[in-house]
Amino acid sequence: MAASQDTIEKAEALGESYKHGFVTEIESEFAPKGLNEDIVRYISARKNEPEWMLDWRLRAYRRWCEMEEPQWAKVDFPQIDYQDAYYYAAPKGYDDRPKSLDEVDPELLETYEKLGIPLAEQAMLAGVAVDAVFDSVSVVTTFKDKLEEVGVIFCSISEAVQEHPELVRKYLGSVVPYSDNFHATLNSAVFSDGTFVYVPEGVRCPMELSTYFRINAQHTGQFERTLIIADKGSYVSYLEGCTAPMRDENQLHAAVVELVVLDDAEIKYSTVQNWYPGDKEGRGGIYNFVTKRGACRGRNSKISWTQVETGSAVTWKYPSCILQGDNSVGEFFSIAITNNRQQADTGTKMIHLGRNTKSRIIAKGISAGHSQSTYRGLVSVHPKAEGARNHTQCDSLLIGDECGAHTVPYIEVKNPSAQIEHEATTSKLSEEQLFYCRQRGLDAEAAVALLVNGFCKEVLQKLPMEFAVEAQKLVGVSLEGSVG
Amino acid sequence: MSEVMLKIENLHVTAEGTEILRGINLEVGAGEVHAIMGPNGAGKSTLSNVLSGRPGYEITAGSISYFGEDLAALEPEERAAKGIFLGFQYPVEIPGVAAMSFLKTAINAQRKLRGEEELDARGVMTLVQGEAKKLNIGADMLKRSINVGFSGGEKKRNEILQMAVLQPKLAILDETDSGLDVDALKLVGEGVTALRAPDRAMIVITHYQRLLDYIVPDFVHVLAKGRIVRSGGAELARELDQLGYGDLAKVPAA
Amino acid sequence: MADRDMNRDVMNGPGMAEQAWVDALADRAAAGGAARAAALTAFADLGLPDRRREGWRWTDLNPLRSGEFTTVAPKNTGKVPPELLSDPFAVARGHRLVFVNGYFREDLSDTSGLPEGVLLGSLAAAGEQCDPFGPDTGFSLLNQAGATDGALVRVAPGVALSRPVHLQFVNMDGGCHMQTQVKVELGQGARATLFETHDGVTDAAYFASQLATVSLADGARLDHYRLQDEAKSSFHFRDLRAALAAQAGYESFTLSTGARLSRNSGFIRFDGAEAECGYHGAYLLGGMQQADTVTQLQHAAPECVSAQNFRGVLDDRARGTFQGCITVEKPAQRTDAQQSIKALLLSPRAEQDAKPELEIFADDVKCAHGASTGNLDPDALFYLRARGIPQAQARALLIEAFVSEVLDNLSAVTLPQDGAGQLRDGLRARMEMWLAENGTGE
Repeated sequence: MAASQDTIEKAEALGESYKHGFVTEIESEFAPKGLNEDIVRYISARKNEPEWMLDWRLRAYRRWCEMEEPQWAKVDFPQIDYQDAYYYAAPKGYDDRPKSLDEVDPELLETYEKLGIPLAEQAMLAGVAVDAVFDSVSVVTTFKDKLEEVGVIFCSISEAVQEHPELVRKYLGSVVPYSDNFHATLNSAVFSDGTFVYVPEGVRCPMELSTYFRINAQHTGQFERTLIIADKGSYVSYLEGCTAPMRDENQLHAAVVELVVLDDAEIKYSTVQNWYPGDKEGRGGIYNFVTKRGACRGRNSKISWTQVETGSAVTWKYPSCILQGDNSVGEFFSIAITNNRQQADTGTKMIHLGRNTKSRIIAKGISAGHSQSTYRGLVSVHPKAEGARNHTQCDSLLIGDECGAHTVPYIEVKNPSAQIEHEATTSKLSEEQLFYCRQRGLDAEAAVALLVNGFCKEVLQKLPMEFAVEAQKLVGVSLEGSVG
Repeated sequence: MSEVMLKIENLHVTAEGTEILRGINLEVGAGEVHAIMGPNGAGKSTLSNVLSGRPGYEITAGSISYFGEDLAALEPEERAAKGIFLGFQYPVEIPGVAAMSFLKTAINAQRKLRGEEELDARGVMTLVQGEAKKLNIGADMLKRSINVGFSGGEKKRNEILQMAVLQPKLAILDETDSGLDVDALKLVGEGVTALRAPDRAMIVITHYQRLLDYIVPDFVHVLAKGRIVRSGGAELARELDQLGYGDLAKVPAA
Repeated sequence: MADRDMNRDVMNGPGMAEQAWVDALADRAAAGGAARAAALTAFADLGLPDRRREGWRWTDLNPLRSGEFTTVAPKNTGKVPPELLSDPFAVARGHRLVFVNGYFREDLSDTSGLPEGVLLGSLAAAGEQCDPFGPDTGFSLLNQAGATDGALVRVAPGVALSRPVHLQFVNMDGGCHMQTQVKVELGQGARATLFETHDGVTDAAYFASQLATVSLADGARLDHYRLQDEAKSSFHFRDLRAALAAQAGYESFTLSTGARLSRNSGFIRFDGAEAECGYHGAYLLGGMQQADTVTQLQHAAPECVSAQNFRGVLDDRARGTFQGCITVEKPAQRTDAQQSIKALLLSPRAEQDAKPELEIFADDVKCAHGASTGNLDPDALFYLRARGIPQAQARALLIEAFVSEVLDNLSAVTLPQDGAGQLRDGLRARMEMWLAENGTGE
């Protein structure tokens, strides 16, 4: 097959030494099943971490032992046995992975086909060997050179702990404390790796940064940790995930993302989450429990979260903004699509602390099949947040009569000059619209994709261009089989 | 008579258990324009819906053949690809989908179903803009969500634009004149007339004669209580306009 | 949200508050039959809610845990100040039931001239109690265990009460609790109008609890208007459970101006197709007052229509909370449910919290909710002042207009032709009284 041939050649071109080095490393990185203090120490030691990092992990672990798993989300899944998991470089992911694209589930490949993903990338996404990743080595190098020129630090969080300890110490846990919530605390104790970005004062990052192009972020497993700092007057756009479904063996994902934005700076954080959603009957699929939070620390700072959530069996995720700086702005634009047996409980928190802080929320939920989709959000205006503004719009679309769509917003206002508006609507896919499209020649699936894309347009427009086109296709693919 | 394009024989149709069409017979040849007139509730819209395949109607007897093929067996989009176009009485609003991108999607969906090469964005743009100009439709309207916030006249002009761009073989215009003022009526009427062609047939459904001042039909049929009770030439429409449907609606079909 | 777990509350030791209530009501429950005793046992198990329980996160119940109100209010047979017995709705010639400290006062009531097929009187005298559907809460169980009396309104099928019924609850003493019930049952096609007033002697600190059940048979129609003007240091908790059969109609409006902490909780279930409900309210608060509004509209049958419109006006350090949930179950296709909550914050320390919730399991529905919070529009205020209207009056005008959005849409179909107008005038007069005392700005 062309892809594997292509891959073999690339791997050979990269030379023997790298290949061996990688394999040796894999064999040595192994921690037994289960979680206890020794495992936490093992992870820290493996990464050669300084004392303070280990202490922080241990504090988190001890705290986690006292915590209960939250039950309030409108999601239903079997109890997770946290002792029955690997917390470091679970080897099954490597041994079980397919050797070539021939071994990959044909349905997955069909989806790639529809999304127009090139073969080499398909192999990488499906987890075919390690070589596909090598394809992007040259890309990465180019990236790094260009970023170093302007002083942007873009590396793995493990590397940052070694190379930039002062920045990590200052900001890690400053937005999501190690004691924040059950999943974030677990992450703090055992996070394996993740991304670190620092954009220095006055720098406008010359390119969109993405985990997609950073090789070592590909297999960081269940407990990713991301920390992005935008110093005064800087700007960065960060893309997370990719539009194609990732083959992934890990059932539990508990990631933490922290953003810190100083005076006049802006972070735009876009996510397309398309982890394996399980099959039509709801077997398998990822549990995605993510804590994402950004602090607008400085005056006139801005955070914009855009997410397209189509994957995972269970999603539990509330990208939030703490609007501390005067005139700071928080935005949350979300599309959550659930089909078959998927469950999503997602939304945002906008905490208005500073004067003239503004937030805007547009959440579009689409439920099909037997799925359940919930928007859960909090808009909180503190007494000192003079002149705060929020506008929230939540629209739900139901496709079929076996699914559910729910809206649970909390609004807390402690300042009279605040203007808070919340609107929500629920509707079904209109038979009239469907017929109109079909009369003009679109088949049922194309018609659904078109109508849902129209429903989501306001949010799709917020995505960076190159992402938006793929995301549009993804909307259609996610809803396949939902009508007719 | 020219080549028979559409042949409806003894068509009986029910919707939600009520019989609405009770034995329609109609032949439409290439290049012909047929007007179907009749009072409210006669079954005019049902006929257009059945021809285009809207769900919710059941054919209990009779047949519809289109170029010799059984139309009832086809999905709405298959009929569209085979050249059947329905101009909606109430064009549907689709928020978030721009009129232009809708047209591009529709053109290429049809071309794909017919096994033809898809048009690129530039090709579609050239095609659409040429036709839009004739109908006095500006670029601005094409960028807006389809039919959302369009006036009655804009919606109908947009329907005719789609017809012009999709180049159907059989166009069914369902009460295209409803909700139009005199100027808009003229524009739409002339737009439709310009699309008359030897290989294209049209069925113009209307309550009033006024649209037929602009689209002069070759045949006029009066539909009442689910049957065609009278057929004639263009002069029949004027006769109806003067006398009303009162007597005709009472006449049982032969 | 994630930090909700951190909102833990200090308790007065496990079960201590509950035990004080159980002790106080033990005799009464034991003497009142098996149902009361069972309710008290269930209360002891369930306990009073606390902030960790969803639906109570914004409500501080510590004053009710303190044991201050566990004493049952004394029976009062004396004179009642006439201002507490006034009829704010100006519906003279109505039927009237008066309860003082939770006990029926026949001497102050008037049930003469009732049409055939109408039962109107004391629940205790009829030997009846409310039998609420839906989930128990600590307070609903306490009420079932300890209610002293209440109103029974039962209208036979096809009967229309042409005159409104006025239920008047007056509380005269502090340091105790009054628990009452209202039980309304309308037969098929029956019609009635209910006015309810809740007043208390100024400065009395008491806990008034009311459990109400409304049962409307096919095509029945009830219009239900309430004024809650309890003493400013009192607690007023009301728990309504209403069930609507096919094509039944229910309109309700509550104006709350009283109590230190009030909770108006309504659970409305649509059991039959094509039923309609307008469930509305307004709260005007000042000082340290808090008003909780909780609504749950459960659409279980197809083609029902529900509308909820609430307005809050908050001055000083007042706090309004609104938790409204619309549930549309799978069979409830073609439901049309709408909800709107708007609040005006008149002071820098006022607070409004809202949780408008939708829970939808049917696809062919029209559901929408809206919530907004803000202060008076400065442009509108300036416009009025520029036309020569003094600041205070301009504010009052705008506040009244804000609440009138709801008042003006009350249909009051069971009232005679000019009745709806009279009702609005009565409510508006109350609003003006409140505005004269509050809300006219610094």
